[in-house]
Amino acid sequence: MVFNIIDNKLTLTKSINELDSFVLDIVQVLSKYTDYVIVSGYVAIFFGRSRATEDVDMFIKEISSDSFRLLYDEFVRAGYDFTVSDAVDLYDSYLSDGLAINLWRKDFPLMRMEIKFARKPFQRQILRERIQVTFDGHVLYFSPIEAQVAYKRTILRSDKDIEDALHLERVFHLSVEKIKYYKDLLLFYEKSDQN
Amino acid sequence: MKSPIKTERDFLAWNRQDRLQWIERWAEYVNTHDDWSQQQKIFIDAQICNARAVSLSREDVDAFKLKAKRPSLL
Repeated sequence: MVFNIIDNKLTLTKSINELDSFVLDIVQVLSKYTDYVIVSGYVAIFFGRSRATEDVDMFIKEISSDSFRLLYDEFVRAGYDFTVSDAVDLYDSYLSDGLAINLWRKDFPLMRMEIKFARKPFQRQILRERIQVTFDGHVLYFSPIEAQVAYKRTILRSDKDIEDALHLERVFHLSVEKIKYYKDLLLFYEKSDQN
Repeated sequence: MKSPIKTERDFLAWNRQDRLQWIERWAEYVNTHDDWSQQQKIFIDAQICNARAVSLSREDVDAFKLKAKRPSLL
């Protein structure tokens, strides 16, 4: 079955692996406080790429310092550790400064969630245009696949990223025009950043 | 037949192509087999199980990552 996204939605059947469980546990808490979009390697892995990863990347919609404090406390109560054990420092010195924070289960530091505020125009756009994926009673929100293919082929371009992009191109019905649209957008933003 | 691989660059190019071909084959499997996620689960869970057995601390993981970033001597 080739995956086919219709109206930004996709439903599929999937055996849930430990990496999926890790992500599901985190978004169960996180989504009470803000919107998120999953990007990068885990997008390819979720849809079948035959590799593991030690970090899952996501952008979240900006939240207030007070909301973040509540989110932080709930994660700590649930047995997670953060980059720094101080919610104010995490918010002020990391998230507000455009840096990522890491979150992992106390008993398993090898696997972590990397979270950043969606601040750049491209990041905000993929958060707005995220796709809803439903599987076995769970829901996750992913970046538009065409945006990931464009980002991996145009900006990142490592062997691993080219391989991820190829996998996504083969298992999805993708719009060539949409990939080009995101590619042009990325190049435009890249030029704007340089000027 | 003599191997066309004479230099390390030849090997890397061949290896890259080989990996891409394998990805095409696996993607075809995902497209045509309902058990792709069961296969993937075995693969991913085994890797996580191994990592858990080693029981690394956050500092150990960071130290490994730093090492991994060093350029290869090969």
